[in-house]
Amino acid sequence: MSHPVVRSAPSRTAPATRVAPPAAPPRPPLRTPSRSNRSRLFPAPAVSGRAELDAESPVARLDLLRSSIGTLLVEGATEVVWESTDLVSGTAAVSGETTGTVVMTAGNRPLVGFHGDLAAVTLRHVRELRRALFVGGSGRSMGIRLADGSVVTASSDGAGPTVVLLLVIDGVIELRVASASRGDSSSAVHAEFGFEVAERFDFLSRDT
Amino acid sequence: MAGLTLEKGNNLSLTKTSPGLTVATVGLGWDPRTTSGEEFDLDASALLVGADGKVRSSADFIFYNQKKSANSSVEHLGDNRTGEGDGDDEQIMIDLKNVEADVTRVVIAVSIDKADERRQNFGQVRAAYCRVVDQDNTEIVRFDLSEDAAPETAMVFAEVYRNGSEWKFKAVGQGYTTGLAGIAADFGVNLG
Repeated sequence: MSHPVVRSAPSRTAPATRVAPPAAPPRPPLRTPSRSNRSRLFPAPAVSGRAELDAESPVARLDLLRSSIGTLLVEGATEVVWESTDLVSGTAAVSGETTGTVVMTAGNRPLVGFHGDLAAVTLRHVRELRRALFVGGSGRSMGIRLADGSVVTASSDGAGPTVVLLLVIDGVIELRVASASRGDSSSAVHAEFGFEVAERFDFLSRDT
Repeated sequence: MAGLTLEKGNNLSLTKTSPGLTVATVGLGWDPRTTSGEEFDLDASALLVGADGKVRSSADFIFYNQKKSANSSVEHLGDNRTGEGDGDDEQIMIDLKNVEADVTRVVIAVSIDKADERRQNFGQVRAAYCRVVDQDNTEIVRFDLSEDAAPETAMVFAEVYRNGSEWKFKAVGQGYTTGLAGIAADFGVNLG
């Protein structure tokens, strides 16, 4: 039976005639990329057992299943603005008015929009969504209905419109309630939370 | 080459039928019946189940939003949401040698997204099947789901399970009216 040849690593010892350099200070270990962003998420309370988001506890994170099965519905929102992972953005109002571009999913439904009076996110395709902002009335609460039937109430103390910011991080939804400081226009609220809705260019109606 | 075709409830030793099997790819297919309603959106998933019949944690639930198990031994390979076209609509790869020892079964399920909202069920799905091919893409076994599953919105199609030192395939065909969430809950996937 032949044995594998074991080669020793080449010596990196400096020649004896040379003065060894002073020892380098210890370096912090290199950070290696983790397999999943999920392991890098900062701690946030799970939504389990929580019934309310408010100024004292404004953030909650859904688990993977609640983030991806069924439809997330928001009651009390008058407008929703979204941005997909492809940076497609748009808005929809409870009145039916829309701006920007509606993101249609493979199931032929909007990724974000209104179903009657309820703002809705199609969770099957949640990984296509980067973030969304639900805008409610000033000083008014919103109810976030999860696929398992539980409802989380979101309320704020500020004078401006109550907003719920939804972020999707590695397929997991994080919710944050806040109060907009500038409620004078929809675009001002959008801008305050970093949303800029690109206008849709309609080639067909363009005058030539 | 077509493999053996099983009836509901039957099983087959994958190890004995295909002695060199290391990677089993479970292929799933279906054709939604033509309806005037909304489009169908079917999804395959896998649950890695222990001896108690439950998953060890939610990481053992492999589906469209979590496509790999912790050690990548089970992987959801892709998604054809409408079921259109030839061939498998979705595939789940099982690296049999790397499945953890405390996983005794890999349960293969298919669910209809938003089935209740769209009033869709497996009674409107035809030509559904589940098959296993080896690492050379040779079909080992096949299960054609023939029965009418009108009220059901999710189904466990099959199981790949340990029997001593061998792996076996079982044709299950168990329907659920509670969708993907119902199957997940039934196998111990906890919300929260």
